[in-house]
Amino acid sequence: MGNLSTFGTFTMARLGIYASQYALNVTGNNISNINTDGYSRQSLDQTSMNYGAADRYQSKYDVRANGGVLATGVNQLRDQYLDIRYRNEMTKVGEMDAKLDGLNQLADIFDEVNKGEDQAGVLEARFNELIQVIETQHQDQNTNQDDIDKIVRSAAEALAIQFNDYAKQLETLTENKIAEFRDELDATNTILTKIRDLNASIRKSEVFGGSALTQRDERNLLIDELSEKIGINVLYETENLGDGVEVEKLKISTSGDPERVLVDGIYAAQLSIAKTTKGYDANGDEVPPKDATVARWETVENENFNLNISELEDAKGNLDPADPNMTKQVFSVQSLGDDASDWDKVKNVVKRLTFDNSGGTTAAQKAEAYEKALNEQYGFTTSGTGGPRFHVSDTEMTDGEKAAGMYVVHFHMGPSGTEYNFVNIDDERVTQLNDTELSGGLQAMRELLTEAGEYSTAATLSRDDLAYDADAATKRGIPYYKAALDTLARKFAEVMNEANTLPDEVVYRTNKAGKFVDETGAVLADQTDRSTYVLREEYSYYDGGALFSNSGNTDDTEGITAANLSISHSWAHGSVHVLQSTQENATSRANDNLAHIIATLTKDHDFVYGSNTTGVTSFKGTFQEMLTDTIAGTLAKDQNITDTMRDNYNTTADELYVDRDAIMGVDLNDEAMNMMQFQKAYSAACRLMTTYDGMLDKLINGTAV
Amino acid sequence: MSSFRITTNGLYRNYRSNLYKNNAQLSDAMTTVQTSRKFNTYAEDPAAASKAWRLRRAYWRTGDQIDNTNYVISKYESAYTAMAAVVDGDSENRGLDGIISAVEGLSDAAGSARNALGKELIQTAENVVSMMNSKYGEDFIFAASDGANIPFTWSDSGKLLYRGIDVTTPKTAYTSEELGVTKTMLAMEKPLSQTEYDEAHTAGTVTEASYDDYKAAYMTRNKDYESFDAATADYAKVVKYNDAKTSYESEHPGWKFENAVKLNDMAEEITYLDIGLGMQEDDDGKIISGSAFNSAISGLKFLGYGEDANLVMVMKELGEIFSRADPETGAYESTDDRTRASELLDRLHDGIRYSQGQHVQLSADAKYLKTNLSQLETNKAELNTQITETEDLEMADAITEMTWAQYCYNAALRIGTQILSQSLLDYMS
Repeated sequence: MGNLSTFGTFTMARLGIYASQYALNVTGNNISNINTDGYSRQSLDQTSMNYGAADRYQSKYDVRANGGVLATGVNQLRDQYLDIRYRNEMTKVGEMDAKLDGLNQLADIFDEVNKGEDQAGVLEARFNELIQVIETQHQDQNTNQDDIDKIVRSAAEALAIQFNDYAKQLETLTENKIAEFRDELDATNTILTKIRDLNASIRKSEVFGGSALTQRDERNLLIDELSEKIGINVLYETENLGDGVEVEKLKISTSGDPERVLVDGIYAAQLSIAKTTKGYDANGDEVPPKDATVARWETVENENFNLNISELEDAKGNLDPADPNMTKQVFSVQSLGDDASDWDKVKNVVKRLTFDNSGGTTAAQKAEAYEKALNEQYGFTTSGTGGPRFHVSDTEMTDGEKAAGMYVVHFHMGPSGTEYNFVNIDDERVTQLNDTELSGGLQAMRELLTEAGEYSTAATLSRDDLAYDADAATKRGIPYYKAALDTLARKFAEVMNEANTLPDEVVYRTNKAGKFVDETGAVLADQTDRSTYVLREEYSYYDGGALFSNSGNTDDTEGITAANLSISHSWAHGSVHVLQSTQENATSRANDNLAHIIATLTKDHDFVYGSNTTGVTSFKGTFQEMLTDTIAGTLAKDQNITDTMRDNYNTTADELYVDRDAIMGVDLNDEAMNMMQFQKAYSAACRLMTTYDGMLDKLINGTAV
Repeated sequence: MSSFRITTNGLYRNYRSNLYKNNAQLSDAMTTVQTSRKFNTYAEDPAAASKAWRLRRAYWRTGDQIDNTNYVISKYESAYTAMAAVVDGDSENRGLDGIISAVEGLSDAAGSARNALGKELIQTAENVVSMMNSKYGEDFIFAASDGANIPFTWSDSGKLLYRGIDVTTPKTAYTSEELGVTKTMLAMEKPLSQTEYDEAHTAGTVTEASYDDYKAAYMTRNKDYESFDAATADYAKVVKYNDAKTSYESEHPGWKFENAVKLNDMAEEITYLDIGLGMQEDDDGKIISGSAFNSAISGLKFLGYGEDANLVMVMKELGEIFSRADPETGAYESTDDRTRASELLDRLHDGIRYSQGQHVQLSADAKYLKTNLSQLETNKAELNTQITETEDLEMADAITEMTWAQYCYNAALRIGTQILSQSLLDYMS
């Protein structure tokens, strides 16, 4: 039998009392924090106290009781797998929420269901009214030309104003969405900063043996919030501080491919809208940035709203020495000379690289191989020193940096040997996120601002999306609807103008060679001056021309959009009229052209993606079908699908929240049970003390001497 | 919910989420009842909304077509009434039917009524012209596509003119479209080849000393042409035109070929109106004839034109011959008159029958238009029904749905007040 101290049991009872009281404290804390956002249920870690010492001569029949209970710590109950699932789902919810919000706002503009007088729509009704007034004028009893113009013009003007209004609303929506995007970006950056600071605080606490549970809860809450804005991967690593001290290091990366690190322990990055450099000549006109005439550069936000990730920095601005993003850094070039033969080819290059001596090759050999590969990639010569080429060198590095295998990429301009460092525009090293590296609310907002769907041009797709996102050509944001509306307005104006215009060579006097001539048959000196053209006798009535233009002050039909569609100056001021007929020597009630206009307004047209007539046909139908089917209909289907998807994600997220809460959440029944349990344990420990006290009393005071 | 441990907050969240859903459903159901529509946004039912727009568009167009049909019916009825006065006559005039009977009555040997009938024929001819110049609204009904201008006038010499052209101008087979020449082309002089020049020069009809001089002089005379060679390109059309013209004018001395062509053009004038026949253009941008209604009524076509082909001029000339007849005996003034009268009587019969036929055609057209109107009105009513079926809801269903949504919402509220407040703590002493 082992040693049995006289007062050892008192200690055991005392430890039991302590443990129960701690446990009740934890329960109390749980109950108090039941409504604290993000609070994870805590529990007391208890362990049975074991005496470490053994007797010199210990019998194999020895009996040992442990020394009571020790409260060794308080921990949180949390399932990281559920955290991951919940956050993944919240990324989708965030994405769908932002997308649906944008689509709903677009529908406020384009959805004409249940709008307008007699629920006949708005722009749709304007089309109907225009057709109706022309139908009325088409009845051959009517009327004088001025009346026809007045009536048709009034309906056409209402239509044009409606187009303008829709375009204006789209513009306002775009501005609001950009502002919202910036706000979201700021909010995301604030979260990243807070997480970084919490990481520092938790790290400090851990160094001194603390558990920093409250900060962890706060951090988890922020990570949840971050997951709605960006799809993320969360990784808990261990950081060795030396002397056997290890602390936890939280790493948060984007969930795209490749992953980009947003938070690396006490370092965090900031997101910003990528910048593009534009060049301006001495007159202030924009010229290509590599142009010799550039007088100044201006850095503006990338119209594709790509995001940059800054370098990982701690609260004091120190860079993360092991910044994992650094090897993928992208820089813009500003200080290239005029004779940079292909500015575009070299505008994105790696600036700083780190190589090491491993795998049988030295850092220098790796740098050399890299240089060769880089030159090959950009089509520069890889041998000799002549001609423009990249040069990887460590000559500018400090001894410490050289020792760390760090190199700088130079661009060798040519035989003269002038070398330029690549200097990015704001002197800030950043990593640009490609299209598929982002998901969540921010990406949904970015896509709302940038995706032109089927209206994407080869240039925009190659510049950004298609290389990374195979779906880019079918994602539709504000630019898609703007392009579709512009296409409709442009086609409408084009068709109406064409219907109201006869070719110059038909109505004006020309000679056999097609040269414009005067009344005597003499060729006009200035063939382009339309004011000198002379009408043929059979077209002496002719006063056709463009009905719609890009501004009310001109008859210019170039570049008509929904925003600028206007009644042409000449039509508004009576020098151009609606042509009732296009026949030679047209009679007073000839109405063939009015019939033609009606047929044109109601027939199918090919609507072409892009601003030219050679693109792919996006839709074949009438103007109104284009409006209600392609624009409003596509939007409605997108809304419908997005709404359904959001509901599904929300339901799953709700379920996951409850599942997660089943682990981490405080439950009053549970805590009430704990209260009773710990109270009983406390009572029992007290009872143990009383019992043992009675025993000792007997031993000390009741035993006869 | 599969979790083993349902926490207080988990329960709250679940409850809250379901309550929101119930509330949203109730709100949607109430909006549906209030608006009496099956869908209030495009996104609610894209397929139905898209269909509704198509139906509404068709409904609107049908309204326009009904309006057009009503207009053209009125015009045709006016035309029919105007013609009826001439064809059937009235208390003061016998009308064309009466004229026919009267003329047929002239077969008696004496022909004593010839003189009086002659005056009546002249009067009727003038009445027909007045009728053909009647208006509907501001426009001349029988002026085809030139409703703003009076179609028929009398020349000083007593000829009937249609837009200034004598309706008795002998006919040609050509229309402007067939000939396809422009004024510029017509102004062109035929360029001679070297051989033709040599012949002409030898004959003295061409005075220029060399072929080059001829070409230069040609270009001066034909300023519209930039080069001598190019000038020959459209000459085939001009040749065809000139051949037709020469042939016509030699056959009909004193008549202008251009006027004969113009009469053909005017008789075929068209003003298309969309009355719901699916107005459509062909690839050249011309209205396909069966897809629209030609609302032009041509007086020229009604009365006929060409030599002895115009009813008015036939009646007038016959009337004049009859008027010259002996008032007592009815004997013709001359043998020529007798021969001419015999010819004209045949023409008169043909002309009156043709005009009667046209009158009947007007009636048939008006009837067709009325049938079309009735069809359009039926279509409009049908479209309205379809729109209603697509957009408007069955109120009983909607109210039932709203009541159910209300019931679910109330139940959810009750759950909230009864269940969520309880926990073990409430039972601890």
